[in-house]
Amino acid sequence: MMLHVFIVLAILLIFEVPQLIKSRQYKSLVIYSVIYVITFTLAVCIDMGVKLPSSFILLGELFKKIGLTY
Amino acid sequence: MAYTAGMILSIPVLCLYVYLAKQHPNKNLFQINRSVFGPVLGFIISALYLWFFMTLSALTLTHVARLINLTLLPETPMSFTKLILVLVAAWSVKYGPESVTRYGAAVVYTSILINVAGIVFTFNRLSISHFLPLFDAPPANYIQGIHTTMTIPYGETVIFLMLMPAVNEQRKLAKSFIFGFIAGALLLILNVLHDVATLGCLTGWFVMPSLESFRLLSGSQSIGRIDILFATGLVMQIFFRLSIVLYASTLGLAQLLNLENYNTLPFILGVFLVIYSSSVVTDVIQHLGTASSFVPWLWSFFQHFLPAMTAVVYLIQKAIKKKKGIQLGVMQT
Repeated sequence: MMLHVFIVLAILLIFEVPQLIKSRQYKSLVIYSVIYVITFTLAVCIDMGVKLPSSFILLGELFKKIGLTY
Repeated sequence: MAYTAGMILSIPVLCLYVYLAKQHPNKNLFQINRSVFGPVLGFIISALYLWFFMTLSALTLTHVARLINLTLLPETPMSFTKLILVLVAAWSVKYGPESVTRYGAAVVYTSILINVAGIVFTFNRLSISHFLPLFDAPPANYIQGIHTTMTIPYGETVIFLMLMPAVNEQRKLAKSFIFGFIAGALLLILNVLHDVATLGCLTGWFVMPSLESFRLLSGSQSIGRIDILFATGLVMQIFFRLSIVLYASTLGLAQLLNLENYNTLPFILGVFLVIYSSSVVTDVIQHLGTASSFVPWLWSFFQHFLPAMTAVVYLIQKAIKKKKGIQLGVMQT
């Protein structure tokens, strides 16, 4: 299901990460790695059929509870 | 009616955005937040805006991918369509705002051409009686309609506060922004009028009424399936929008985390968006349901409440500074 996402993630790992190390952008590298790990983990979860919660829908539920809805 | 009233009522909101941009030259929304609210509160407000931009990007991505799957590539997995779209958008974002907006004029003129062509080709199917009866809905429906149009298409122009420092001719900023908004809104109103004149009361039954109205085209055999032309135009427009929201998200994230440049982030953020978009809304019914329930209120927080609060805090700070300046002047004399 998520094979194409894993392929793109692998390509990014091969081409973008060495560039960040080479240009010594260590702060960017840390942030890049954090987003990469989160994306990879969530992609694995979706591939395994785990239903991820939606922050958008949860906020919507909160708005409905306080009466800010049509 | 809701689209027209929404457009008129949105103009003061746009003037507010222009005012904020003019008072903070060469600063985008995140930099304005930091300047007005300070590093801590500014960070929190910018983080909220980042969530808003990311969610808007995810919803836009889902919208354009669904449109492609519905009209052009029905057999292709939606996540694959999303991935291809987001990678192309990320490619343009990587090279800056100029590359994102370069084809904007071409997209606008193509859209106008397709819309006018659509009206000409469906002319024999348009009926004035489809607009009747006029104004028979309860007032609450009009209020909801106006509020929804003020937030979902029109209020999303708040995202241009991220692009405003990149405008070359700052003197023409207000004029271009408001003229562009009115032109876009009029095109949208023309589209809605065309849909109602063609489909009548069936307009509300379809997920994409404009596409359905174009499917009724009565061309000859040789120009059959012109709806595909409209679908292509629509994909171009939504893809353009996707590039802008992805640019705002990437730039926002980089500035929030004090990165030197943002051009290392577009691709990884794009792949993250593909994953995030699959969890934001599960299906088209839920997507439409959110737009007619809580979204106008939630979006109002980002499009009306926070910019108004920023302007009020800025004016108070300005008044305090002026008062202090006068007191200092009196003491010196």
